[in-house]
Parts: sequence; C-alpha cells; structure tokens
Amino acid sequence: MTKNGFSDLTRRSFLKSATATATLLAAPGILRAETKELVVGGAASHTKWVEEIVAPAFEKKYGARIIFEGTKSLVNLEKMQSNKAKPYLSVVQMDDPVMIMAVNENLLTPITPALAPNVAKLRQGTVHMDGMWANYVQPWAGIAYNKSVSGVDSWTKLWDPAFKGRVVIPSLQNTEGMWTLFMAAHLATGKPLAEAQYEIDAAFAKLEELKPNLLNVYAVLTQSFNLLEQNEIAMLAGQFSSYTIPRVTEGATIDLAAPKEGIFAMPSGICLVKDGPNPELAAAYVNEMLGAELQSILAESTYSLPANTEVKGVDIAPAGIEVFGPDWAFVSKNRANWIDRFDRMMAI
Amino acid sequence: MYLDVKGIIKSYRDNTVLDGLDFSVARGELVSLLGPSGCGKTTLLRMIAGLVTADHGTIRLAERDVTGLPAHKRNVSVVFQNYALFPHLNVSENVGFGLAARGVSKAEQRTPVEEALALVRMEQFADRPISALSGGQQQRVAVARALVVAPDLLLLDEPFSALDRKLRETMQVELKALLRSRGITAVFVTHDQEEALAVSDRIAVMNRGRIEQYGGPMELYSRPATSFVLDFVGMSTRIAGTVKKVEGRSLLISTAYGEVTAPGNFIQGAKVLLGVRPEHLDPVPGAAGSNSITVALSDVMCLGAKTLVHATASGADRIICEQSGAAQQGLPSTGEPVTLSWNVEQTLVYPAEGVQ
Amino acid sequence: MSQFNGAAAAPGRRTDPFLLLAVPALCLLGMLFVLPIVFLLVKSFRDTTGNLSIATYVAFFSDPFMLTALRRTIVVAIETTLLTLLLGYPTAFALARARGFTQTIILIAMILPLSVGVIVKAFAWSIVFRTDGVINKTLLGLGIIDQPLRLLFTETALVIGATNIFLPFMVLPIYAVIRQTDPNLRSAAATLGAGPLFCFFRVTLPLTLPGIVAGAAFVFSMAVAMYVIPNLIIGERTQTLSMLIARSFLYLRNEQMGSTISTILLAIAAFIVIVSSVILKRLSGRQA
Repeated sequence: MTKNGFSDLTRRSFLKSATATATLLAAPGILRAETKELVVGGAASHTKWVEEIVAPAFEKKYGARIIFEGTKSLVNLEKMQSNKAKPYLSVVQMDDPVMIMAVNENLLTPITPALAPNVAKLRQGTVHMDGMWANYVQPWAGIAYNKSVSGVDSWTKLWDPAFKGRVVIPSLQNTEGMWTLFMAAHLATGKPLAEAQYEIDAAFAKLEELKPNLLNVYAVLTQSFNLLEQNEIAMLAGQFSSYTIPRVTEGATIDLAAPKEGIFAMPSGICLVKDGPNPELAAAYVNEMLGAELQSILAESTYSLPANTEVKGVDIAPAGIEVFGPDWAFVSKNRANWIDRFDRMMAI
Repeated sequence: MYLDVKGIIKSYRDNTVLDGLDFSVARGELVSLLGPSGCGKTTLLRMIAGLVTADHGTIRLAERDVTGLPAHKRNVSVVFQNYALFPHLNVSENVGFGLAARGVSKAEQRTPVEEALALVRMEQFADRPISALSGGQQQRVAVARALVVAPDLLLLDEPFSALDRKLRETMQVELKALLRSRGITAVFVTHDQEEALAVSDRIAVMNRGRIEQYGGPMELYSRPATSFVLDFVGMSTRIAGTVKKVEGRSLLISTAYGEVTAPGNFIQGAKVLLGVRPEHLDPVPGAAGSNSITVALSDVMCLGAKTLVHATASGADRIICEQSGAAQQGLPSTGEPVTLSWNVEQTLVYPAEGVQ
Repeated sequence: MSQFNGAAAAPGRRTDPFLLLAVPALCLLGMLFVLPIVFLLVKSFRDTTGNLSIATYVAFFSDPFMLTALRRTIVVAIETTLLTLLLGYPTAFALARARGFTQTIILIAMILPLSVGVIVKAFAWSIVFRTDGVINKTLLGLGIIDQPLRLLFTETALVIGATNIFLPFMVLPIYAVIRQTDPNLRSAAATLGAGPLFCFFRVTLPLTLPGIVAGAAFVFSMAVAMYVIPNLIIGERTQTLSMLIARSFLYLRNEQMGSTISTILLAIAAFIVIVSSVILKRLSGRQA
C-alpha cells in the first residue's frame, strides 16, 4: 500500500468513524426513521445464535435490522465474488481458509482499531493478515460419538476394526474435514501436529486405511448426525462443540470427545466486505462481535473459546489437551487438490 | 328363444335400473329396445354384452347360460354410440381386432377383414387412420369390426344418433338390409321411435326398468298396451275423462269436450285417459254412432305428404288430427271452432296416470 | 362422405395471435435459462486462457472417476424412471377410476409430500433405511434375509428416495391421458373377445403411451439432474454428475470442468426430451 493510499485510508476511516459516532449519538431519531438493514453472511449453523442473541441486541442498540444469510463458507465467497461490483453483504462470518481466498480476490477491507476498537483486545493469533479478518469465538472440534461407545480417548479409535462401517467423516469440502486429515498425518508420522500438518501424502495413506470403517463421507451434516444419534454409526469425526454440545444438553445419547492427541480450534472468522453497504453499521456489528460483552455470552451459549482477552471466568476447552490451529495459508493453497484427491480416494 | 333374458334386477345404490325384466329375441330377428333416457335400455344392452353384471336373473344365448360369462367370452359384438374405434389403429387393424383377440394370425385376418370392409363398402379405406374418417364412415367400420367375428348376437347402442338426419335414414336402410342378408340377430337400443319402427321386426318399449310392451311396429302403433306406449310411439290425441256409465264393454266417458263412447273394461267413476291416433280423426261431423267433439282450431301444419291440425285442449290434453296430402280446404281458420269425429272402435282407453 | 377426407388445414396459415401469450414466459426462460446455458456452453469449450479447446471434454471422458459418476447418474435415473413407472402407472388408473373424496385423498397423498422439504424427507428415510429400520425389520421378520441389509448411502436408497419425490410427475401425465381416453374402448375390446391381458397390451398400453413417455421424460430429466437428494441420501462417496458440477464450481474452482459436466448433463436431458417429444409426435400422428 502506498504512503498516499495509507494516509488517504486513515483520513477516510477517520471521517467514517466520526460519522459513525455522530450517527450513533443520534441513533434513536434518525435510524428509526428509516430502519436500515445490514446483511450478514455466515454459516448455516450460526443462524440460531445470530438470530436469537446477536440480532436482537444489535437491533435494540442500533435500530438496524440484521438479515442473516446462513450457508457454507464457500458459497459466501461465491456470493461476494459474483457481486463484487455492487456488494450486498456488509459483513461475513466464515472460516479462515476461505478468508484467505477472499483476501486473494481482494474482496475484504481490514478491520482497523479505528473502525472496531475491540480488535485491539483479541488474543494473539486471532487477528489475521493485518486485520483482514479476526476470529471471534472459536468452537473446538473432536470426535462426536454415540454413548454406546465407551472411551473415545484417542483418534486411533476411528481406525478400530470393531467399528467396521460405523464411522462417518466430513468431506474435505467442509472445514471440519481437515481435522481427520491432519490427525491422520500426525498418527502416520508421529510428529507433532504443527509439523505433521505438512505431511499430506502420509495423511492420505493413513486415511486409505480408514476406508473399511467408513459408512460414508458427508458434505451435508444433518443426515449423518441423525445417524449418530440413532446409533446407526458409532463415531462422527471432526465435530465441533458449538453444534454437538447443545445436542448433548438437549438429551441426545451422544457426546463430544476431546482425544488425547489434541483438538482443533474451528476457524470462525469475521470480516468486512470491501465497499459493502452501510459501512458504519457493519463496523459496529464487527466491533460488537469482537467485544467482551457479546463474546462472553456467545462463548457460553455456543461452547466456544472467546478471542477477546477481557472475557473472564468462561471454562470451555477441556483442560490439558492441545488446541491446534493449522496453517490456513498452506491449506488454502492446496485445498482444491486435496479435495480432488480425497474424493477420488473415497469414491465407491 | 335364441336370446332369453329372465327376471333381471339391477340396482345402483337405491336406484333400481332394471326391475324384474324379461326379454327374448328369436334367431335372425332384429329387435329394438325403445325408451326415454334413464329407462334402463342401455344397462340392459351392456348386461347382455357382459359389461354389466345383473343382481338377479339369468341370460341365455344360443343354448348356453352366459349370465356369469365375462364380455370377452360371450361372442356378442357391440356397435357403440360413439363407435369406440381404436384411435391408435387404422381401419383394417380395427376391423381385424376381434380376430386378433381370437388368436387369428395377421395373414389369416386378411381375407375376412377385406370381406367385412367390402360388406360396408369401405375397402378403399383399409389403411386410413380412424381420425381421417367421417361419422358415417366410422359407423361402417364399427359395423364391419363387430361383424367380422361372426357374433352370436349384435348389439347396437344408438348407432345412428351421431349422424345427421339424411345420412341416418340412408344408413338405417343399408344396415337393415345388411343384417337381414347375413341372418344376423341384432338388438338396437334407441330413444328414437321412428328409428325403432324403421329397423326392427319387434320393439320392446321400456319405461322405468320394465318392458311396457313388446311387439311388432304395427301392433305397438295401433294397439298400444299402455298410455306410456301410446305417448312414446307415434302421435296421438289424448283426453282425460271419467267413466260415467258402463254398458257391457261400452263405456260412456265424460270429458272437457263433451261425452264420448269407447270400448273397454272400467268401473263407473274411473278416471281414464282416452287416446286416438291422429289419422283416425276427421275434421268433419261424424255419422251417428261415432264420437265427435267441437274444439277451437289452433294451428294447421302442412308437412308435405300430410297435414296436421292442432286444436286447443285443456290441461294436459292434446288434440291432433292428421289429414293426408295438403287437404286444407274446408278447414276453418285459426281460433274458429272445428268439429272432429272418429270411430268409437278407434278409441283407446287407459287408466289415468297415477290412478292405476 | 369423401369431402371429409380433404379437410386439411387452410393454405397460407398465419401466425396464431394466441402464440403471443407465451411471450412473457419465453422471455423469462430466455433470460434465466437460455443465456446462462449459452455462457456455460461457451465456457466449456474454452481453456483457462480463453482459447477454444475441448481439453476438458477429453479430460472428462478419459477419467474413470468421472465416467463412474456418469454411469451411476444414468443408471440411477433409469432405475428411478422405471420404478416411478411401475408404481405410478397403476396409481394413475386408480386416480382416474376414483371419484369424489377418494380421488381427493389420492391427489393429496401425492401432492402434499411435494411441499415437505427434502431434508425432512431425508430424516424420514433414514428411519426407514436404518439397519433396525422398518424395511430391514420387515425383511428379517419375514425371514427373507438373516442379516440386516445396508440400505443407507446406497444407490438403492437413492432410487427409492428419488422415486418417492418424483412419483407425482409420472402419475399426473399418465392420469391426464387416461382421463382423455374413451372408457368405451376397453369395453369395445372386451366385446370383441379381448381378454384383460390382450386388452391391456393392445389397447390400454398403446393409448396411455403418450402419458408414459411424457412422465418418463419428466422423471428422467429431473432424476439425471437431481442434486439435493443424492447429497442427502448417498453422500460424498458415491458421486453423481450434479454433485461433480457443484464440486467443480464451488470447491475445486474449476469452472471449465464445471461447465463441461453441466453441458454433458444438459445434453443427456435434452436428448431424452427430444427423443420423447419425437415419440409423442409419432404417437399422436397416428391418432390425429
């Protein structure tokens, strides 16, 4: 970025935030006169908590309506890309690997402390590529299992011949599909996850050995999750806390295991769409999502790890188990190849 | 008899369509079932064909009991009102259908199909699709299709109703000649009395699921057994009256137009319906001993070969007189009184409707 | 009588102004369907640098992975079509025969499930198809099998599921044709000595063939292109062409391959539609 561009940007940002502040002060009168709408893209699984927790709070505070479009991360990317000339999404909540692709295609605008002051309060490793996106709360991922199975204390259990045809794993099309791949790499090479994540050939060889146990590979979770609850399958790999634990508390005879080899931090990122409509409201939405107040509620209600360091007294991750976040840039670069290779390997 | 239908009862829910009906046809006879719509004639035809089952009763045809036999085992052909030709087959395939159903090979079908088509003068149309035929041509094909299988009995359901009047008359003559020459036993169903009179040896007049009278055309016309037959077959003068005096077989009946004498067996005071065929009425005062009434002339219709004289009648009565030719001379003008007379012996007497 | 034979269409026919009524629908189709398809077609014949190329077609037809999906797509569509026909044909007759309340019930039973989302149905199916589901329990109980069958995530389950959804599209065209046929034709056949089987094969079947062809064309072209149903029922290990299209566009970001597979899928569907309309024309040509 040129010096000129930078100063220009800061000035614009300043003006914007000044306007934003002024707008906020005058909020009750002006904003309610014509209810503004902020379109937020995100994962389908977010819909419940966005609509029940975030949207009402935001609407109350800012008088603007949140329209949430829940779908897959890659579909969100496609939406941004095809509407690049005239974006209609203002904010998108999607997975880190897709964020990298969005940055590469120049679809995002950075979250600066000037726009969203809370971005300065996040823990290390949760703000990426100079603020292009940030993690807000991160669900953790392990193995979901039916309670008829005892002691899912290791990822090797997936390979246990006792579970022939009773295991389902996510497709690599899904972000949570990466966890089985990386764990396969770790189990095959014995190296720590941070190193093993680059040993993809070994990972694929290990996944090949999993095939007898696989009933299926899912791209759409619902059906497979249903089968787990019905005890048709024993284990569903790569499942994350924000989805599984609510089902556990609702009384499903399943649980989420945090095996000893480690668990994974789901890459829940939030970003601002470049030239998206209602930039001030968008910044305010992101700021709220990164703030301690909302995060402490979200962390508990979605069983996720908060990114804001000011959130206290929330006990989410199982103690003493490594929480691993992979090199998403590496994933992003190779993912298409992996998907193709994986699909061919798994094809019947 | 060749066809014997005995004691047939058929009801749909509460509606009795055929009510203990008996009916028979001699071999080679052409018979019509005549009646208004809803009288049960089509149900009877479909029952003989095996398309409808009877609740009670038996049907015998050509010395065998066919009551329980399905249609395809009866060897009874039907010409349907809309002909029911197979639209996906051409003319010769339609005609050959019955033979094919009897397992006759394509090659063996050829001669009989050609013969049947020649019979109805349709041989040039053998390869035409059905949709390219006119109504009259379709009827010929339907007849050929029904005859080619040499049926024990041919049933025809209002076969001429889809044709215009002129064509209808031609086809009636043609078909009757054809059936006669082949010695076919056939039953026509029709609601058109002229058609029934034209094509049949005998006519069964049906009303409310029963046969009111079964006889030759002349018998039906000159000696209608019931007032229904009088009304349904041919035109008639009909006058309501009350029996005033009984002298043996001679009745003195008072009517709205004066007293009238008629032969019959009724008790004094009985409500009756008098009937006279129009050609028996004369628009002149009659000789002593004949009946005569004086009424107002309401209309004179010249129909070419005959002239109809209508007179004003009260209530449900109807007074009509037929003169041969265009004999209008001597008639008073409309509205003027005219005296009509007829022979006492030509007077028909029936119990009045609803008093039976 | 012969004057009827020459009743051909009047010479110099002008365009029927009623055809104009179709213009709005055609515009919509043109914009939402034809244009994107033309884009797809063009794209499928270009390489990444924009030059004319049939490379992706060569790649498709030389890739066993793709060919397996192609074979499966066609086989599943054919099986689905046959099963809907097998179930739908008698249903159409029952529907045509039924009157009043019964007819309403059959119609509702067929149409209502269309309004239930595929996802809800997929849950229902998983209950039926499970190892301890209704089908397996019945078969085990009847002693037909002694080990529960694996039905979930199989092509069998996909065919059954697709049949469930597409059944009305087979029943309704056949029903419409039956409604138009003269019931006297079957009576006529019977009185001419045709037993039930002869009557069925020589009269009923040929007369309802237009409905069968139309229904089969509907079901086949929908089954060959279905995406959500296989996604829910058989998952990722058994790919179909539509799943490969989504995968190419969304996950592999290979628009050339996506367009190529789309074009192939479209060609299959178009082939079926054209063949069926030719057959229909032949059939009606004999009758009209």
